[in-house]
Amino acid sequence: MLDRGKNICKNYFVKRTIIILLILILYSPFLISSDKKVDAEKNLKFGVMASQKGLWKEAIYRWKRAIELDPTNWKAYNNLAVAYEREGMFNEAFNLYQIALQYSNDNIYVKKNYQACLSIIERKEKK
Amino acid sequence: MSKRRFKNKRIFPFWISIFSAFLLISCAEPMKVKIEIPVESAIKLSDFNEIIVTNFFVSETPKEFPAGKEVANFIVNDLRSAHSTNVIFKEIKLENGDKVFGDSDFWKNIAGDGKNLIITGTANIKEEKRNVIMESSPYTEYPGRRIVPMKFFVFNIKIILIDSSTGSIISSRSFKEEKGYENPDTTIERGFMDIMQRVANKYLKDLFQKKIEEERYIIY
Repeated sequence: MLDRGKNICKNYFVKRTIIILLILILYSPFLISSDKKVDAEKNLKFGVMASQKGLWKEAIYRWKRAIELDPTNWKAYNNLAVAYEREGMFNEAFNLYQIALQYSNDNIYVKKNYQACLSIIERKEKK
Repeated sequence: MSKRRFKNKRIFPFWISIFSAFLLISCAEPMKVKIEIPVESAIKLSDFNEIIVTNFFVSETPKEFPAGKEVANFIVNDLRSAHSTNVIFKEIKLENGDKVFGDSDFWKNIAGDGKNLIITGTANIKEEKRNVIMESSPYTEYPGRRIVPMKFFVFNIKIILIDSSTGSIISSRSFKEEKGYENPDTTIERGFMDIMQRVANKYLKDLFQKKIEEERYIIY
């Protein structure tokens, strides 16, 4: 009778640990991805600070890193596009604005940047 | 039923705070920034094989200072550090004064074959002594207004760009710059370097790459 009770307890703990482990395994990608998103946001803000101080190369590096960590971070795409425009890389900037628009559901500020970039490209082509 | 209502009342503020926190986190803040965007200028360096800088024509300069050659040397160094196109210095005889700039055959012969860009012009430098009213803070040795004798260097520079294939002028721009020094022993070399730096910032940087100011939104 005692042995039977022990077996039931053992089975109960084994089952519980298995369930906990399964939950952890299932949720681990989400936990890791949320960590990456936090890091991406940190890089994004660091890039903004760098750009405010005129350190645009550092800003570009940070925003690229933010995109690497979170490929859906539309703010990083937008900011990187602004930096590329400053470097005269208009086509690359245009492509990035398009991605930013896609992920941000046509954010109004991204749209304004996109239109301004488009007008520069059109002026260049007219010449 | 009453218990349920009570429960909902307690939960309601909790959800409001959660929702407002979510709104605060998810809102993207834009920041308007002014950026300088490079656009192509009328003169494309890639169209030319090389840049030839000649000594400048000088009608007025302090005797000890070879202004014509010094201006050319400054431009050569400035362009060499900023552009990959070959930049060379060529000493020429500018006997006819200002008239030589309109002589297309003269410039065609100087540059030889191919399409080269010639940078030439005139440079006049004057040394002047002027009395200047200066205001010092009350914590200095001589507080308040005072008249200070100063040494001034006045530069009149005209930079002319010529296309060697046609011998004609493609751009011409004049500058008048001056700078004063309290120290009466300031040398002309010092004044020259200070003023040429200004000319370089104003003109030489814009010569082959023009920049326009635009507004963009940085989002964080």
